[in-house]
Amino acid sequence: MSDAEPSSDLELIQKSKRGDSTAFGQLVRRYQKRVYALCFRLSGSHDIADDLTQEAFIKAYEAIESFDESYPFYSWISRIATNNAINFIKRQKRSVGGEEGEIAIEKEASSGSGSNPEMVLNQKEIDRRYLAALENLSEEFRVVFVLRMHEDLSYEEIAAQLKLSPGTVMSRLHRARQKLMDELKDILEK
Amino acid sequence: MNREYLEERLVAFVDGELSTEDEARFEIELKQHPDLMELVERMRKLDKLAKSTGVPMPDEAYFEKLADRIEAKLPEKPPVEAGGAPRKRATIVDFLTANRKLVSIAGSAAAVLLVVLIGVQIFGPGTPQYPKDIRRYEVEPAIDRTKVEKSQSPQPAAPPDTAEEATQGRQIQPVPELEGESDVVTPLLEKSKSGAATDSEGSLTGSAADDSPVQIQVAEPSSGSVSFRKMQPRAIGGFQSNQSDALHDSGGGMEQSRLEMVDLGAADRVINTAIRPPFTSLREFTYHDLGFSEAPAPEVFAAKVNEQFESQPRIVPAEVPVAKLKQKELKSTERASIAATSEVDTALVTRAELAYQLAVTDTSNIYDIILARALVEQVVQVTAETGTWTKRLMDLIRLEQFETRRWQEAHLDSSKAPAND
Repeated sequence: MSDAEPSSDLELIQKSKRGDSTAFGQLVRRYQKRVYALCFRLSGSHDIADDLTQEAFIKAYEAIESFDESYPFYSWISRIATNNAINFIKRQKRSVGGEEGEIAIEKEASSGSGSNPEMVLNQKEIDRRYLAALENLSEEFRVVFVLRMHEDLSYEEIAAQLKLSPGTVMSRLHRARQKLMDELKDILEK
Repeated sequence: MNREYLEERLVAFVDGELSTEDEARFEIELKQHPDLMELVERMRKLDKLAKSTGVPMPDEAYFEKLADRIEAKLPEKPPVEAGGAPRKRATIVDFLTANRKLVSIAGSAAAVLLVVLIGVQIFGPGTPQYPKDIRRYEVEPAIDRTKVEKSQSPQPAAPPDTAEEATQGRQIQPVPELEGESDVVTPLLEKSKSGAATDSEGSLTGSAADDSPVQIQVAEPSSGSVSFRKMQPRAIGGFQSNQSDALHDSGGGMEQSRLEMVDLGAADRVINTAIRPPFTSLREFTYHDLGFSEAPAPEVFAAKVNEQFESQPRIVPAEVPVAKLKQKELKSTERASIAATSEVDTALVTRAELAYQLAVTDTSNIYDIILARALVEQVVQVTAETGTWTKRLMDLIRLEQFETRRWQEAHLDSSKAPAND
């Protein structure tokens, strides 16, 4: 990924609409990590996240002409990615156990991980526990929780995206939180 | 606010999804429940943990390759037109744009046809004429019901068993808050049974068979004078549009075409054969009418309504469990969502909401059920394309329809009930 990104999203989108795949490639490089992280949280698997990320961008490119330029690109691509992930999860059982395969894992810097090795270890353990707990949630709870917590969507936005009522979103979030709190009880009580 | 309600809203509170007003109220209530406060703290801790947790990310090399793979898989785009705009596949919009004249003619013809059809439905033969000022008729509740006397109505005779059905109709509306006033209701019914309140033509209860407005002779308690007042059985007070009236004109049959699942027959028969109950209902009073700018808390609403009608039987019983009302209350976010995504009048939505709150709380109050259904239908009509909220309302309608049928089976002798169409 180049350090300098001279073109704005809008410019890249407009070029992409004219069939410039290189411009779209720049959008991919700009947003692929976020999309990948979203897909990973939704699927719990690196391999699946990899596939879903590719699929999301390809679908986005195919439909780029319909993209409304007054909206942020990420909210659009993340919607595509979420829908992809939900469809995928519904289609087949997701892989369990954090398949990292041959991908070299480079732990993203998390807040709270400082130079103290013990703290880093602790944070890694907490991350692992959290991701495992997230993965243990049923798909309907996990999707809502991820969209709220990691994508910062409002109840209404989640409801619109998942075609649920805001009341259902609230209820699922409540239950997701309860389950996560149960699983992470020891950490939360520290 | 009870605990159940607090728990339900806890998550919205933590997520900052409550309105400022609700949030302030919620915070005050929450202070009385230390265990829930603790739960809030735990939820906040969890959120903090979740937000601070990163995903184990592959390294940069992986993402470089991923981007390359995606780029390689991008399909070739269709050629770009000279003006720079991408060539799109022809759409229906393109077709319509290219054939404006044709579309215009077709549209005009459709509009004329629609107007004719609506005209036939509303003004066609067999359709009862509603009083022009429905609201006026509906808002005059101050009658001494013990003095209902036989009507001088020129209306056609009711079936001989009408009075009996009227009695059934009265008995099957056990409004809890009115139990203490059963002595008001019973004498009337007894009169009805004995013929004191209905003449041989049964005009007290009107004719259900011909769907004509019922004329009831009533006495004003203040003046002691006796007057006749037309009571339109299916007039839904407070409705803003003629469309709504048409919707509920089962004689015209329009409401059934709007929502096939809705059968107003049972309700209409009850109204046609029963005396207006000795209480007013939400139909006459929205919170706007009562000076609120937005939906107040149910208890506040109830207090205001009762204050307005000190001399009247309570329409919102003090003992109605607030939690039950709250459960049915739509959130302000939902209202906002509807207002944002459709042309629907927010006031209408809130009216439907409030009406439904009351109706589901006391399903024996057929008037409130009908009003609620009417309002909900109106909302559904407008928001048919908007999805989730209307789906929820439709579920409620189905539930209500079920309740109506159950109630009908329990209380109405369908063999005696006059045909509605």
